[in-house]
Parts: sequence; C-alpha cells; structure tokens
Amino acid sequence: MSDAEDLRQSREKLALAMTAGKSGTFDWNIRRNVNVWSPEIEELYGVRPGELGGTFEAWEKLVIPEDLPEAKAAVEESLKTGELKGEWRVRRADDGSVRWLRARAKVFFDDDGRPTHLIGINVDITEQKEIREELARSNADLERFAYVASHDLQEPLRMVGSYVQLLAKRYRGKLDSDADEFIAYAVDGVKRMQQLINDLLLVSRVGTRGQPFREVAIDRALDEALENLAASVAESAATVTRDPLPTVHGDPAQIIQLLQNLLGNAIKFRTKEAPRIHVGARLADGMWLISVRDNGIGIDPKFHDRLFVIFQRLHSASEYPGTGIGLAVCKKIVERHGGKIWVESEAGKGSTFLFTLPRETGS
Amino acid sequence: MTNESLGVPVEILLVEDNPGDVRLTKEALKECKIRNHLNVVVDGIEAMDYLHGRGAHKDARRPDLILLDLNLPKMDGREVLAKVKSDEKLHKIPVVILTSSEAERDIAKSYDLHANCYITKPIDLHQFLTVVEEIQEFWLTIVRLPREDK
Repeated sequence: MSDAEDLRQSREKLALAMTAGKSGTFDWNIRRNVNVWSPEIEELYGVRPGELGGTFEAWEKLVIPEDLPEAKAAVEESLKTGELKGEWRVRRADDGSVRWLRARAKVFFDDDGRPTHLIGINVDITEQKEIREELARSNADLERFAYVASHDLQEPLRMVGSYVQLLAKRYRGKLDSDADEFIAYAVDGVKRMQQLINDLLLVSRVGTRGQPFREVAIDRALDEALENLAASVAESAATVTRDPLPTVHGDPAQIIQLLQNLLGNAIKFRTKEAPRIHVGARLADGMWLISVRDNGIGIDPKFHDRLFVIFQRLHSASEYPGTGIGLAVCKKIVERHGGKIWVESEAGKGSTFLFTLPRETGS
Repeated sequence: MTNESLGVPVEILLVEDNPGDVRLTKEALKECKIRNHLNVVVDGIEAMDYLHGRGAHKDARRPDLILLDLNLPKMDGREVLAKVKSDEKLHKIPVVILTSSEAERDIAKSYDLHANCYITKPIDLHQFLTVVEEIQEFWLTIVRLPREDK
C-alpha cells in the first residue's frame, strides 16, 4: 500500500472513531484567529461544512450565554497553563437544541513562550449529563422514601410496642402466665421489626448518603474500625495482623464501615479459639485486592451465594445475633466503588473474605 | 412567680396529634412527684389559640412548660416553635421538642429556632416513662424559671 493510501485510510479511521465517539477536533491559530474545524466537530455544533466563520468569535456565538463567561475564562486560563479542560452548553446551529460539550485541548507555544495554537477535541456528553441528573433525582426520591418509610413505619410500631408493655406493667400478676408469655412475644416482635426497619435504611443509605471519593489509607481505616470494635476485640481476645496496606480511592466512612462489618463478623462467628484475623492486600488486574482471613467457624460452599443477600441469615438469632444486613451493606459499598466481593471458605476451616477497590488516582 | 411556687399545680401544655402518645404522656406524668395539670392541643393552630387565650381557650392558663411535637396538622411544630420564640410574651416559656424524629436536620432546625431542648421519643415504654419523668424533674424542679410578668 502506498503512503498516500495509508494516510487516507488512517484519516478515515480517525474520522469514523470521532463520529462514533461524538467527538470532533479543532485547531485554533491564536495569532491569526483562524479556527479550523474538522467535519466531525462541525457536526457536533450543527453547522454546515465551512459555514462557521472560523474565528474565536464565531465559536462564542454558539456557546449559550449563561455558560459563555466560564467557557471564555477556561480558554484564557489554558493560554497560561497550556491545557484546556471544561464543560459547557452550546446551541446547535441547525435545530437550536442545547447540548453539553466537554472540551480538552493543548496549547502550543513558540520559542518565546507565546501561545500559537490551541488544538483539541470537543465531546458531546449530553447523554451522560442527563443520566447523572436523573440518578441524582432518583437518589433524592429514594432518600425521601427511606425517610418517610422509617418515620411512618416506626410510629404505629411504637404504639404497639408501648401499649403492650403498658399492659404488661399495669396488669402484672393480675393476668395468668400465658398472658405474660404472649406479651413477651409481642414485644419481641416489635423490637425485631424496628431493627429491620433501621437496617433497611442503612442499606439504602449506602447509595443515597455516599460521600465523594478521595484518598483513603486502608491502614487508618482499619485502625478506626478496630477502635469501634474495641469491646468485642477485648472480650474475644482477638488478634488482628496485617500486611502493608495500600491507599485506595473511595469514601472514607464507607470503607471503615466495610472493614468494621467484616472484622465484626470474623469475631462474632468464632470457634472456642480466640479469633486470629489477618488483613492482606495485593494488586490484581489494576485494582487492590484486600482480604480478611479468620480462623472462625467457616461457611459451607453451598451457602456462599446467599451470604450477601439482604436479611439472609445462616444461623438462628439465638445462636448469633444480628438481622443479616452486614454483608449486604459490604456488597453495596464495594459495588459503589466499582469492585467485587466474594468469600473463600469451608465449614470448620475459617473464612477469607476478598474484595477489590480502586487504586488511588495517580498512584 | 411560677405556678409551682404558689402551691398551684404546674401547667404543662402538650402539643401532640397522636392520641396514643397523648395517653402515654398522661400515664407517665401521673407517676411524677410534682402536682401537674396537663393541657392537650392537637394541632399548631389550636396551640397558638391556647397560648394567646383565644376562642375555645379563652381562659387558658399560661403554661410553665410546653412539650411540642414537630409533625402536626394545620400548622406544624416548627412554625409553632418559631412563633412562640419570637413572641415577647411567650418566648420565656421553655419549649421541649418531644418528637419521634431523630433526623439531624430536625434537631438542627429546632435549635436554630431556639428550642430549649430536643428529645427523641424513646421506642421502649420504660425509657419513654423515664424520659417524661426526667423532663418534669429537670424543667420543674432543678431549673429555675423566670418570674411571669402578668
């Protein structure tokens, strides 16, 4: 194949890629104020080929007035820093519809350090923006629902619980022992229901109350989780060892909660032996794979897929307390971080819980 | 002089729309050492009528303590709180928010509007009874209330 043919094919592939990715390139000659637009970027703005004036001002007219100050500021900033990053809305020239565009560009300087070219790309991100807005609305709805549910569900429950207890108090010794037993079951039922409602709220809040991600040192998160579990650690004489632990990109409070739930389980589901727990970490497929290994009672493989389902318990409440949301919360937290969680375990041979978390950006 | 120091029963205004909670509070107050007279109104508008001695509540005695629920029909507790605490004639009366909500924003908002304190109704009966008793003991025996300017 000839070089010319090579080049033509290369150009064509690039054009296809740009169109498919709803992107387009531009090359603005700063000194001469000549803005050269690729056909793909013309398509993004809805301008006919060659219709655009090819100047900075021509572009300005397409940006919606509300976003123009920010867009211009970003361009001016880039002439100093060398890099353009920004998002703003434009009004398409063909049908007047508003689209969100993301801009990324690089500034080229001459030998005297003056900017000569701004070359970069615009990407239409309207769909992503809309999805994100819808997600935010959906989360707000969920949060509202959870608040109302907790409030409105708890009220009648409190009435039942309080009055049954009042009956017990008022008529103690005046009713037979059956009555006492019936009342005890009723009160217990109420207490369990209240706990379930609280737990449902906890699970729903993983999504609706998540904090933005930032740098989280697993070492310190582990320390905090252990501090929160200090009483059970002491009571069970548990020892916790650890490998060197990494820094991940995530929600600090949720990561503490995740570790706390896993460690709490490791301590709770112990044998007669004192719990020995080890927290390890290694890189796997570009993410951090963290493990929490214990010497507890272990879990038969046939139950492994039930483990992370909300309210699924493998033991009766009299054997081990809890409503069965600890692992459901862990799963939601890990999934919110883009990771996976699973277990390796056999009955009587301890358990290892493994989960992945994203690396700290830039690490 | 407060009602209590005159040997007259303490006047408590309970603003609560849930009859079950009204009865529970009554039961709890029965067990209290201090002689008290419980007045009940079931919504925010009635609460303001009572406090201003209007309509059916023409002869209402000024309460020494207000127990106020937040979620009320017609005018909600937050509005009642704001009105009481911004009214020169009423703002000295201690207002104890007694609500089932434990939401942080409700707590913050109540203190913003100068509630004297905020209590979440305990779910357990025994704790509820204890809390009401302690409210009484704290606000009516331990705490000093201002003299009423009639």
